[in-house]
Amino acid sequence: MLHDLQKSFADVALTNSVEALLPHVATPRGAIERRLGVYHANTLNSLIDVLSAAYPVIQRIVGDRFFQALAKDFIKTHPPQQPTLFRYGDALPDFISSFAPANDLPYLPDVARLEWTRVEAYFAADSAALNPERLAEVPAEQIADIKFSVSPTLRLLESDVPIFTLWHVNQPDQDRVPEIDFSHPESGFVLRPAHTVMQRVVPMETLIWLRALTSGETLGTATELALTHENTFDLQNTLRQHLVDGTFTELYL
Amino acid sequence: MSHNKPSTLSLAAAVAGAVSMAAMTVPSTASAAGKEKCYGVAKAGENGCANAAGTHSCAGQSTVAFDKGEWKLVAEGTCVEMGGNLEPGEGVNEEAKMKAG
Repeated sequence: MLHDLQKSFADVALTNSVEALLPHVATPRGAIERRLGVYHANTLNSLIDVLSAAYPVIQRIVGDRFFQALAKDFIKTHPPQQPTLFRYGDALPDFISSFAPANDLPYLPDVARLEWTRVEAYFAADSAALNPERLAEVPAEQIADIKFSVSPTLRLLESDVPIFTLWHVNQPDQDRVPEIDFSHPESGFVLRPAHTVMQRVVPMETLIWLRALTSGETLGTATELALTHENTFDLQNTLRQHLVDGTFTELYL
Repeated sequence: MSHNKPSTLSLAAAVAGAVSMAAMTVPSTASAAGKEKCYGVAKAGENGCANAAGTHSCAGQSTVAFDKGEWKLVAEGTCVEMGGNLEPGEGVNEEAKMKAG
């Protein structure tokens, strides 16, 4: 009984359909729709605000009106499934792929994926960076066997389009948007070392190296894979950068 | 591709180099210890209740009429300045068109 009542109120909030709720309300019909409409409008707008907060770059790329329409369509077909709003919107990148008015902007879903990745990194668990001196303690003949555990905030990304550049030129402090070569692929990672989410573009061989280490391969194997892709892969500098960034949290032998 | 297998010596040298250079950049192992997580202060939208700001009042009412837009839905943000879109025929685009029917 209570469940039905709540369900019919949820219908009002999400879709503005008052039919199921009518028998439960004593007010005359015209007033009901107007009053209940407030719940619908507020629900819709708060969900749009959530999406807007998670996808500011998409909003800037397509403009406010387009974003609102996109968000409304998304909310209609993907109402929240859990009571935590910070997780709401993970399905938007895929939704954009199927959103006909966005067909002309094929780079949009991948840019949205980057934005969501940043949200994930922001809310992922904290972790302490590996102390570089731990590496210095490993005997030379065992270096190849080292395995790392990586930060829970690390996310690797690979795209056919320049997602990191697109993200960067659409930050609020960028007032001049340059022409972009949309055919330039970019790979990189997102990481939250302390409290600020950061991202870096890396060459493909570094992505391969990171991907191997993340999936539990040894340093020797990961380095071999990276060198096979690009024989100028610079282990020393790459490793240094990731020790500084805090990509790794622990090492095992 | 066996010549891509790094030797023990080259691996050890690279790792040693990386460690000593990282030691110069990372202030100390306590690099993060000086920073306290500042609860309650988060960039708008990056905390779970940021949206609460938009939920009071009936401010939302005004956008209801917006729902069934007769206007043509055209992206009008910075995408125009950035030079529009990819050449037609890219995978994502075709897929999107097919899904959209």
